[in-house]
Order: sequence, then structure tokens, then C-alpha cells
Amino acid sequence: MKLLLVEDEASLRRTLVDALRQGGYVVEVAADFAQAYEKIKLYQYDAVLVDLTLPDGDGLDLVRALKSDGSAAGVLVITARDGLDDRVQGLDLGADDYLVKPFHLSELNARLRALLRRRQFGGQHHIVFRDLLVWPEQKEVLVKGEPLILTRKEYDLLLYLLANPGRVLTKEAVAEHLCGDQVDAADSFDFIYSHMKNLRKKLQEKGADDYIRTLYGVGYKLSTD
Amino acid sequence: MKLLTQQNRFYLVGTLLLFALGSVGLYAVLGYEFRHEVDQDLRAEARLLTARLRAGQTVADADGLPTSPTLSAHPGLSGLRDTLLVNPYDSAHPLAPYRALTVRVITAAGPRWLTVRRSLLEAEDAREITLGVMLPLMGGLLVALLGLNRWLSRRVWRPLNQTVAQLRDYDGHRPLALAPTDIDEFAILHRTLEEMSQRLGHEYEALREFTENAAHETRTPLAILQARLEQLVQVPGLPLPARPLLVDALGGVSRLLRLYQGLTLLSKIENGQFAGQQLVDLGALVVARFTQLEEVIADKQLQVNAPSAALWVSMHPALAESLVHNLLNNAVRHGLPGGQVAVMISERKLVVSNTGMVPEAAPELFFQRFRKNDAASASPGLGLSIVQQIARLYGFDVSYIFESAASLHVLTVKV
Repeated sequence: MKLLLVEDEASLRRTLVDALRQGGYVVEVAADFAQAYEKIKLYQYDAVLVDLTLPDGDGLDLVRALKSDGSAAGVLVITARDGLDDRVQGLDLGADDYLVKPFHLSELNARLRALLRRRQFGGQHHIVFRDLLVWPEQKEVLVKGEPLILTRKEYDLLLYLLANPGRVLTKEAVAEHLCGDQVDAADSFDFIYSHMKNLRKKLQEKGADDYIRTLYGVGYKLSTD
Repeated sequence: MKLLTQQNRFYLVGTLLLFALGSVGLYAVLGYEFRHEVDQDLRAEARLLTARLRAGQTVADADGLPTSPTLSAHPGLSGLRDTLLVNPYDSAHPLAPYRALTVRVITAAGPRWLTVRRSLLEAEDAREITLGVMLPLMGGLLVALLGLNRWLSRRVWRPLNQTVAQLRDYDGHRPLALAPTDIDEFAILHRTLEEMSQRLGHEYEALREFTENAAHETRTPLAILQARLEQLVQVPGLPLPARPLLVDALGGVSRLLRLYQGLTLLSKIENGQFAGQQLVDLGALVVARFTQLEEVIADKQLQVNAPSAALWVSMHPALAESLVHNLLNNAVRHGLPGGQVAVMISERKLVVSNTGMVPEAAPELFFQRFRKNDAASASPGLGLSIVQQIARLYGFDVSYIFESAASLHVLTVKV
């Protein structure tokens, strides 16, 4: 999978590139509008991650250019402005999804996976992880060929874990993924513990290996060993 | 008091005073003039009769009318005087005022005293007629002047009233464009106001730009910090004691981010940067938020009582979401474990309640920024400030009471 990351902030760019490469992507970078424009005109990408605030132009114009070229690349808009209008405009222009800065890297992974799945395989794509088989379009999960019944939220959590194999997911990142935003409603993130426990129990009942690891005080990890 | 009313009132008082003085003056002057005229006539008549007497003719008429000259051999007081005489013409007024002149004449028969008289009634009548014509004329003129002045003032001050109306609606963001006027003073006023509004507009723009830039500049390093720390957690073979340190650091970063987001949202609402409105169903937002909070609610074993109902409100969708999120977050966060959280939607009203501890301060104080019951809490304490600010923007009425009998915190938003 080849990605183009358009981000002007050098330090953030490096971090994102590191994280994405760890996720197995081939990542090219553009530090400003001019570079990005040149690259999207010259090369084909599977997905383009665009920061909307660039020093020499508006990221929305890149989205416009991609769409007018009929590019097959998925577009994920990253916005530092919490202007709702930017997001809406980005989606209207044909962006597939948006992330508001700052975001958890695991959340970026999850969104990117979903986006690529929709784009590349028209949803007809399955995820295989050890003894697990997931058909995202049908929201179907099979453990060693046996169907596994999960609640919507449990399924969501499993998909989130599958998008981040081998990555440590902090409790906060998991909580925010589940609750949709900064979890002001809870004093602690302990509430995800029982939720995670239920998912593990259901997996084990079907005889799945216990690959969801708890890192005490930190969070969880989908073990790839 | 209005400028026009004040002016008209002074004008009216002044005019009435002038009218009163003028009338009294006219009355006096007319009285003096008519009397003077009678005196002249009497003198002329006396001169004529004296000449006749000297020439040996007789003058006295014996018709007995008050105005007939009389000649007396008895010495009398010479000169002019006012007197009352029997009035033979009008029995209703038996005595009438007369003016009399007595002169001493040396006739052949010795000194005689000749008296001539004129009725003053005619002079009085003439004065009354004159006044009767003059006073209404003057009065009418004054009323006309008063009306003219009123109309003129209204016309002259109209630009000022328009300017005041425009200023009242002025939001301090954009430069003013006032209607042109050919009155010099107003033109100067308009120019001054327009220049001031331009300066205000510039300052507002500068402040807005600064806030936006500051926000962007704050958020980027925080985003870097968060991403870097998350990457650090991924480092294989991370020493065990380092983990809690990293998690604490990450927690601190998210607190800062939450604070930053709350404050930016508040300043954006205050700056009126949420312009668009559309119909939003608050009831649907409540259901959606409760679904998102399922795990938190289950973990706290909260009993949620929220019969689904629609509440359509015209507002910015992002603010509608923020309003509902903050209200529900607040109830779930402060709800006692095992307690109740209820959302009641009725006609134009959204009531969110939760069982909770007795608040340490008066409930309405929690609308203040950074005010929280538990000072050590990780929440920045902006939730209810945001609720209030959003309510203020759309003219909703928010109240927060604590029902001590049921130990219930009740937040009501009337839309």
C-alpha cells in the first residue's frame, strides 16, 4: 500500500511516517502544497493523507485536484482547525474521512484500514488474523470457521484491535475510540476493562488463542507472536 | 427624555410666556392710546367752546345727556379726570365710565367753569374688538410656528436617529456604513464613527486571527507531544517502571488538549463564529450519546431513564452536539455509582437529572469556568460554561437546581 502524507509540521510528519511504516505502508511525504501537488500529479497512491492548513496553500485544493483527476486514491483529511465547516467542505469535495488533530495513531490506523478496505476492495475484503476471519462488509466474525456473535460495540473494538496488530493501545485511545470523543463523562478509563474482558471471554469460548494482551497500567495489545 | 420632546417643551413654554406678555402689553398700549385719543378730543372741544363763550355765544345744551357740555358758575377743579355718570342708554349698567375736562373761562359775566365729557365705553369697546382680532391671530401664528418647529426639528434630527438605531445594532466586528448626510455636524459625526468602527473591526480581526494562530500553534506541539509519547510506548523492551511515567505524561497532554478545546470552543461561541443554523433533533443526539457512553454507564451501574422523544431546535449542528454531550457527560460523570440518570424531553424543554452528592457550592456557581466540585478532577470544569454559553447564543434558558430530598441534580434547558 502506497500512501502520500501531506503535513507541514516536520516533527509530526516524522512521527506519522514512523507509525505508518510500522503499520506496513510505503509512505511518501510532502512538506507543503507545491510538493504535494507535484506528487499527486505524477504518481498514483492508494491513499492520500492531507493536512488542510499548509503554509503555501489550502489542503482542500489538493482534494479538489485529486477528484478532478479522477484519482482512485482514498482521501483522509487531517485538520488542525476545529472548524466544522472545513470538515464538511472536505467531505463534500470527496474526502473519504477526516481526523481532527491531535489524534491517536491507533485511531489513524483504524480509519486508514477502513478507508482502504472500502476503496480497494469495494468492501469485499476479509481480514485474517491467526485463527480469526472477519468479513467487514457483513460484520461477520469467524473463529476457526465458527461464527462468533458480538455486540456492535464488541465488534467495533475487535476491528480496532485488528487495525493495530502489535501496537500498544493506550486505555485512553481505546476509550476515545469507543466514546467518540474526549471521554469527559468518566473519571477513569477503567470502564474499558470489563468491556475488553467480555470480548476476550467470547473469543476464548470459541477456542481462540488469547492474543489480546493487557499491559498493566498502560493498555492493551493485539499480540502478533 | 427625547431630544425632540425636550426642545418642543422649551419652545412651548417660551412661546406661551411670550404670548402672555404680548397680550398684556397689547392690552395696556391699546388702553393708553384710546384714552389719549379721548383726551385730545376733549381738549379740542374745550378749545372750541371756550372760543364761543368768549365771543359771547352760549354753549350749554339743555338736552341733559351726559356728553353735553355744562357751564357752571361754581368754581370746580380744572383739568382731566375719570368719572362715573348715570348711563341713560343702558339700564343694565346704570353707571358708565366717562372722561371729563373742566376749564376756567373768563366770560363777560365773569369766570365760568366749562366741563366737557366723553364716554369711555366706546374706547373700551374698540380695545376689546382690537384684542378680539389680534389675540387669535397671534395665537394661531404661534401654534403654526410651534408645528413648523416640530416638523423642522424632526427633519433635522432624523439622520441622528438613524445613526443611533444603526449604532444600537452594531456588533463591533465590521466597519459601519452610515447614510450620507449634507449636515456638516452629522457628516463629521458619521466620519468619526466610521473611523472608530474601522479601528474596532481591525482590532476584532486581529484578535480573531491571533486566537486562531495561537490555537494552531498550541495544538501542533501538543499533537507532536501526544504522537511522540504514543510512539515511545511502542518501543520494544521498554523498562517496566517507565510505563506509568509515560501514561501519566500522556494523561497530562490530554488534559491540556481538553482544556484547550474547551476554551477555543468558548471563545468561538463568544465571537459568533458559529453562524449557520439548521433543524437538529436533540432527542436523537441524546440517544446517540447514550449509546456511545454505554460502557461507562455499565461500569458505573447507572440506571438510565430516557424515553425517546424528539425535540427539534434550529441551531448549529456542532453546537447542538456539544450541548447534548456536555449535559450527558456531566450527568454520567457526576452520577453516583448505582444511581439514576434521567433525560426528560417535553414541549420545548430538555431536563437532565442525576442522583449525586450534595454540591459544595450553590449550583448556579458551576456555570463559572473552571468551577468543579472536585478540585482534583481531571476535567477542566468547562462543561457547564459551554452549555450556558451555547444557551445564551440561542436565547435558551438554563437552570441548575439541587433537590436535596431526592439528592437530585437537575439541569433544565428551555429552548
